[in-house]
This record gives sequence, C-alpha cells and structure tokens, in this order.
Amino acid sequence: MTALIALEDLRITIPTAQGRVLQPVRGIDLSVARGETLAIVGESGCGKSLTALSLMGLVPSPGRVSAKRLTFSGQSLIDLREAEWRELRGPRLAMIFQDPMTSLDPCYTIGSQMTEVMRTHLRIGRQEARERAVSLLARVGIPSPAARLEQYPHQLSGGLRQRVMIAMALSCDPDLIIADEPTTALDVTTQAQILGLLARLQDETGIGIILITHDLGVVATMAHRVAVMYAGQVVETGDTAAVLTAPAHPYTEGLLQAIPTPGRTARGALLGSIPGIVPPPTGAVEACLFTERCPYARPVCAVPVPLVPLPGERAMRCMRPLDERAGEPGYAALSEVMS
Amino acid sequence: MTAAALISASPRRLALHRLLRHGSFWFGGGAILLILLLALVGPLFTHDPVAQNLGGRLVPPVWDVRGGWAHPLGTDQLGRDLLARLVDGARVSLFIGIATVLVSGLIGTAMGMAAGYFGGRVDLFINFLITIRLTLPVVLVALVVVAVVGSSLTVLVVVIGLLLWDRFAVVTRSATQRLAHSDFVIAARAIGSSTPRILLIEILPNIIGPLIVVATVEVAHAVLLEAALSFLGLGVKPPLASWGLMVAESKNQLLFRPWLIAIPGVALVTLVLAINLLGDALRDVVAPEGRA
Amino acid sequence: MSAQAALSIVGATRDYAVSLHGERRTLRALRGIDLEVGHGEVVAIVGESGCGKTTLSRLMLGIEAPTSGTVTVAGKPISSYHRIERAGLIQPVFQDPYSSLNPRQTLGTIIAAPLAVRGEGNARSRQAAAEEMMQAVGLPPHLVNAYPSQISGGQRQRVAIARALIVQPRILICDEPTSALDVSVQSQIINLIGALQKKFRLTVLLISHNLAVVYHMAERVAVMYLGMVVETAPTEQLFANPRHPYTRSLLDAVLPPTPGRRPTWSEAIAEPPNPVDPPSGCPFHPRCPRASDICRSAMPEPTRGADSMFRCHHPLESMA
Repeated sequence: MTALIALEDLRITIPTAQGRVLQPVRGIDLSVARGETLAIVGESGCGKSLTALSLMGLVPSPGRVSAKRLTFSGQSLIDLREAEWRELRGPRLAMIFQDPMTSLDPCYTIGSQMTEVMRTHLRIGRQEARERAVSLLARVGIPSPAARLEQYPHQLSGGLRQRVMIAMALSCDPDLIIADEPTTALDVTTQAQILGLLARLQDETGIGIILITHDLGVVATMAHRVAVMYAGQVVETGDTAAVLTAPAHPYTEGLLQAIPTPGRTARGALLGSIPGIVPPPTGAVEACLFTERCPYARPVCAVPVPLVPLPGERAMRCMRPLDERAGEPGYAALSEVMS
Repeated sequence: MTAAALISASPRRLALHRLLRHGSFWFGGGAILLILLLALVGPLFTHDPVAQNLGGRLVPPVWDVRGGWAHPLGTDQLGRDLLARLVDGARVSLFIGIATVLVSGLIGTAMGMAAGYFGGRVDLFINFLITIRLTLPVVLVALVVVAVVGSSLTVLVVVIGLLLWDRFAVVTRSATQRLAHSDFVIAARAIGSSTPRILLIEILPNIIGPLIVVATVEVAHAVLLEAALSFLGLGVKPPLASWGLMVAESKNQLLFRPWLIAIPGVALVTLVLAINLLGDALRDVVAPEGRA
Repeated sequence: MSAQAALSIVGATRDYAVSLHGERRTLRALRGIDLEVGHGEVVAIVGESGCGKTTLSRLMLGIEAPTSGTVTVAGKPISSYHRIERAGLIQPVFQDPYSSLNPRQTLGTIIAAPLAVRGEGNARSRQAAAEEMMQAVGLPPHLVNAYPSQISGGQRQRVAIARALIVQPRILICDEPTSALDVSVQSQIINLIGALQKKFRLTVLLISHNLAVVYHMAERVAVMYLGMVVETAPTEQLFANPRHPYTRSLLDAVLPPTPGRRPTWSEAIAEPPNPVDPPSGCPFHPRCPRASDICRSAMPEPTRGADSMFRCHHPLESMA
C-alpha cells in the first residue's frame, strides 16, 4: 500500500520568551494511504493538533518543524516555501477545524467564500464556481443549497456550518483531509450525522483522512488505524479494532478503562483513572514519559523507550510487554487508593 | 495551551514581572516619582514661593550669563523665585489630578457597575446619563460653574471630578457586563452572596486593571484641565502657584523672556507624558488585548 | 411521594423576551416541566443544546424565577427561602471549571466563600474548613493559597465541588461536570461525585449530553426536547427500551469505544427547531420518522407508567 502522506521523526520545537525550548512533538512516524482514515488520539497538550498543523505548513511562529522524511504523494514537504504550501493547501490538502464559526469569515456569504477558493485554485469562471458550490452543498446533505449560498455563517446552525466547512474542504478535490476535532463542538445527534457524512464521502472519493480527536468513541466508529499520542510521542499504533479491543500500551489501557461504556463497565462502579498530569514538554527524553502515571512502571522503564513493533502491523512504546504485565493489579488498584 | 500549562507563578507575580520589564514603566514611573518627590520635599530647600522682591525682578535662569545660583530658574515679574513656584505648582497639579480622579473614579465605577450588573432599566438610565455627560463641553461647563460659584481648590476638584467620570463608567459597564453572566458570578449567587458582596468581592477585583489604566489617563486629563482653567484665570487664584497660572502671568513676556513660559510648559508636558507612559505600561500589562 | 420529595417542579415555564430581526418575540425556553426527585436520588437530565437544560438548572438553583409553575425544595417554594438558607439546600457544579472560579481569589477563599457569606467562624477557622474540604475531594491542602490558574482542569473541578459541598447541601446540580475535561480526568470526577453522593446521601441532578456518563451515574433519566420532558424512566429501562423516538435517536448517536459500528447515515438534516418559532403539535414531529397528521396538530399528553412517563402519539413498543 503506497502511502499518500508519510512522515518520519517529526519534531516541533518552540523557543519561549524565557529562553527555554518547548518540544510539544518529539519524534513522530505516521503514514496514511488513499481511502484510509488514521485517527490521532490523545489528551489536550499531547501535540496532536500541532502535528496536524505541521502537515499543512501552518505551525505558528516561532515554532520550528523538522523531520527525517515528510512526503505527500512522493513530494517532500520539508522546507517548502509559503508560496509552494499555498499551491498544496486547498487543492491537495484540506483541513476542517473544531469550530466552524471561527474558520468561516462572518462578513462574507457562504457562496462568496466557497467560490473564491475554487476560482483561485481551479481557475474557473464565476458561474461555473457557483454551480459547483451548489452541487457540493447538495453533496454534503444541505437542503435548498442554492438559497444557502446567499446566507452568512451566523444564519446557519453549528451542524450546517460544519457541513459547509466540509463542502469547502472538498471543493478542489483534495487527496487528504485533516479533520481536527470536527465534531467536538456539536450535539451527539449532529455528531453522528457529520461522521456519517465523512465516511460516505470517503467511500465515494477514496480520500485519505487524518482525524484528530480525544474521543475514543469517534475513533472506534471512524478510523481504520489509530495512533495514540502521549506527551509528544506516539505510544501505540495499529489497526483500530485491535488496539481498542486489546490495548498494548498502559496509557491506552488507562484511557479505555476511564470511559464508562454500557455493557463493559458496571454501572456505578469505580472507573479506572490515570493519576497525575502530563509531564511538561521540556528537556531531553531520558525515561519513558508515562512512568510517573503508570501502574506498571518498573526500574527498567528509566530509559528512552523505542517504538517496538508488535505482530499484526502494530507497535507500541513500552518496556514491559503485555504478557509480562499480566496479573499485575493495574489501574483498578490505583483508583481505589485515590478515592 | 502547552505554554499555559507551564505557568506556575501566581497571576499577580506574573503581571509584576511583565511590568518590571517594560521600558515605559521605568521612564514614566521614574519621572512621576521625581515630580512627586520634588513636590513633597522641594519646599524645604527652596525660597518662599510667594515672597516678592521687586528689586530682583525678572532675573534670568542660571544658564544665562546674567543669572546666578541664588535663583536657579530665575524670578518672575514680581521677583518671586521660579523654582519655588514650580515646586509649589507641582503640588497643586498632583493634588488636583489625584483628588479629581478619586471623585470621578468613584462616581463612574459605581454607575458603570450598576449599569453592567443590573442591566435593563438601570442600564438604560445610566446610558442616558453618560450620553448627556458626553454632550457637555467640559471646558465650557467648568468655566461657567467657576464663574458663577467662584474658584477654590475644592470647587475645582468637585467640578472636574463631576465632569470626568464618563470613561470610568463606560469601561466599567462593559467589563461588568462581561462578568455578570460568568459562571463564577452565578456560583457566587448560588452560595447566597449578597449583591454588594458580588459587586465588590467577585467583580471589582477582576476589573481593577482596566480601571487603573483609565485612572492614569484621567489624571493627565485633569492636570491639563486645571492648567487650562488657571491659564484662563478661573482656576487656582494667585498668589497660589499653578503651572497654568504661571504661563498666564508671563504671557506678555513670551518674546523677550521665553523661559518664563517654557519652564512651566516643559514641567506640564513632562508630567502629562510621564503619566501617559505609565498608563501605557499598565495597559500593556493588565489588558494586553487592548493594545492599539 | 411529593411530601418527601427533595425537589419537585410542577408546570414550570420560563419565557425570555428576545428580538428577532428587530421584532420583539417571546422565547419559551421551558414549556411546562414536571419533575420530581426523591431524597438521595441521582437523576439525569439529557438533551441537545438549546433544549432548556441550563435554564432548568437556574430555576432549580433559585437564581431565576419561573414565568409560571413552581419549584419546590424540601417542601417549600424555592423563592420563599432567604438566599443563605437556599444556598444551604442546593448547590451547583458547572461545566467549565475555568470560568466557574474567580481568577483573583485563592483556592482557600473560593472554597470557604459560602462560609464567609454566612458569617460563620473567623478567617482562620474558615481556612481550616477549606483545607479539610480540599482533603475530602482529593486536593493536596498545600494548594490552599494557590490561584485557579496554577492548577489543572481536573483540580479546578475538585475546587468547584469542594465549594459546593462545604455548607453540606442536600442537592447538587451538576451541569455537564466532566465535558470540559480530558478523558483520564473525567473518570476521576465521575468517581468523586459518585463517592461523595454515597457518603453524604446527596440528591444529584446530572445535566449532561453524554449518555455513557448518564448511564454510569444516574438511577433515573429525564429526556428533554425543546423545553419539555418527553420521557422519563429508570436508567436501565430507558436504555434498554426507550418509548419516545427522540430517546431512540439519542441512544443511536452514542459512540462507544468498541470497534465495529459505523453510524447510520441519514440524509435528512435533523436539528432542533428554533424555540422562538416552535413547530405545531408535538415539537419532535419535523425530525420524527413516525410522525403522522395527529403529531402535527396535537401535543401528545403524557402516558404514565409505574415510574416512567413518555409523551408520544406513536411510541416504540414496550418490551416489558
């Protein structure tokens, strides 16, 4: 399977005013194939959003991106100039953000925002762009699309605005869509519709999707493969079903135990919880970054841990394989101590 | 957000840290401190500011060949020591500036908080008052009142104080409005806090930053207004010294002895500039999003 | 039952004056709510944004008065209590622990504020009470002089819970208490609320859109739609056998973290109607797959079971 986008050892550093250097992303390997959805999942501050922005050339200054390899359909994206990024963004790479209200310009109609993008990148006329916009809005399930073109963003509900964002992302037939928490701001019923829409569009066009989310329910529904991020590193990656049914890394295991799930967790029972907080993104990595919060931590964990391949195209970043940990008390014991 | 996670100093210490790295703060604050010091301890070292010496009239400052160290800044047309009068004028300017802002700040903040917190009719009424106040030409009204009531320091403070509360009211109103519906104010209501407690303990400490900024602007405003009124003869009465009065008393000497006007003029500009610089620094620290 | 109910709401409505394109209109946020909550019960209120959940929580806190109808707490109308008495009965925990704590106050001041309002004790005894409460909610007491900006989101939510519980209220209203928090922290707050509920025999109203959390915590669920309660039932029963089609669609939208299920794609945009301009008849009929003529013309009356209720002309079959 040839990768649509592939990156090796992606690092992002941000120098601070106080003279320190933050390392929110510390060496990430990822790849996405055509027609595939990769979910990047993690808690706030794990570096998942910055990773997504780096794939669009949008890491805000003074952040610096470096990578051993960062290719998109065979073309290297390392040290691309701003003008070259602009050629890619829109026609080839598109992004959907969490809050469509802030990514749509409140001063312009939906129609003018949609047609402007298409006329710039596809070099088509006003009339043709308009017709294309109507068909795109229809394709994302918006009723009476022609009338919507004349409306302003604030006249649409959150769900409709997110559909408009998706229509705009699709407007130049990109190869890859990066969706950063696309449904976090929406109601559950609307979330299901938007996710269904993305899945259907992927089936129709074979587009690649990188889905950034903190919600393992969204991951389970949408993603073919998943990468779990913690403190700027990928700690576990593999086929979604495999990772979610049999998590290999203690962090993934902790996340899954923390979510109340009808049918799996007993009602009212104590949920597993991960104690402590994410370590600050500074300094060299000298030990497993999860050690302080990990119920399975042992002296052996005090080394920088590599991503170890597992059978079935999986990998994880833990010194203690699953069978070695078997039988140890884990998170359940921790949550009892805490409450 | 990663940066926010790293911040572990208390908000006050952080603000102080930013302030201490601000150039305008050092310059403006230093100049004000100097003027304040002069106003407080200056009279101990200078001549009597009202003692006339008709034999020694219009002595030029020390940098002129005819001047001398007896009167470093020279004397005026009545032979009074200019340095002593400058120092005395600084006391008047600072007193007027600070006292009027206490009056106007109290009025404006109370009105703005009431309008912002209660909304509805209270808000409508206070907005009406603000609009009326904004239609009044400040200098003209001050002139009329002083002309009718007569002039004294107290009258000046009250008149200027009653005229310059509008900016306090506007800023306080919008800041209070923003906070009145925040969760922590609703939580305060839910724990049974009285309305005064909510206004004074929950809301006021959160809007004090912008208020301090407005206060610096208004101090400068009041200082200038007092100078203007005194220049027109409706402010501070002789023999009390005021920088505006000093300029007025010497205005017919403009061409022949320019220092008589330049010295109080430079003092006025320095004080107002220093106050504004300090205000700028404070604004950058307490309300950086409002930077123009 | 009403005699010993911890909280009872009868026929509560709440109107707001709004201007729509310059025209004065009435937004009826609540359109006749009946709800009864027993002592020590955990009841969840679920529904989409704009259904009136937050307005209902303000009525229950006594911060806003209903336009009509009554809210009764411990046998007396909430409006008849003095604000300090009321505060000792019912306390809130908000969704966003960043905005629910005054950024200018230390944690000790925030947690002890209910005591200060009552004029109980002196500064030192209140500080001691705050530290004791911090321990009870799992906060290290050395943070007593810290500011909210110096602690994490989960810790802030613990502060909010400590403040709510320091006057030992009988009822806790938790408005989306976990949805602003990270997954690993959510479970800690859920565990904490559960433990405190049992320890103090608290009556808890859990307002949430997260049905997994609701299923985990609540004994009974009330489903709200456009300012009305459209279905109530014990949690197990509601999840296993919903009667209202809206409840069904909410349950269908839950995405459990177990692989293998793609959401069912519906071409129809299904979003709540505008409460300023509500549909005729049953408010759910524009989105309802079962809607018929009667749904468009007549509001369905409540159908009551032993401990359940639903409002629907064409309910889903009962499996009991």
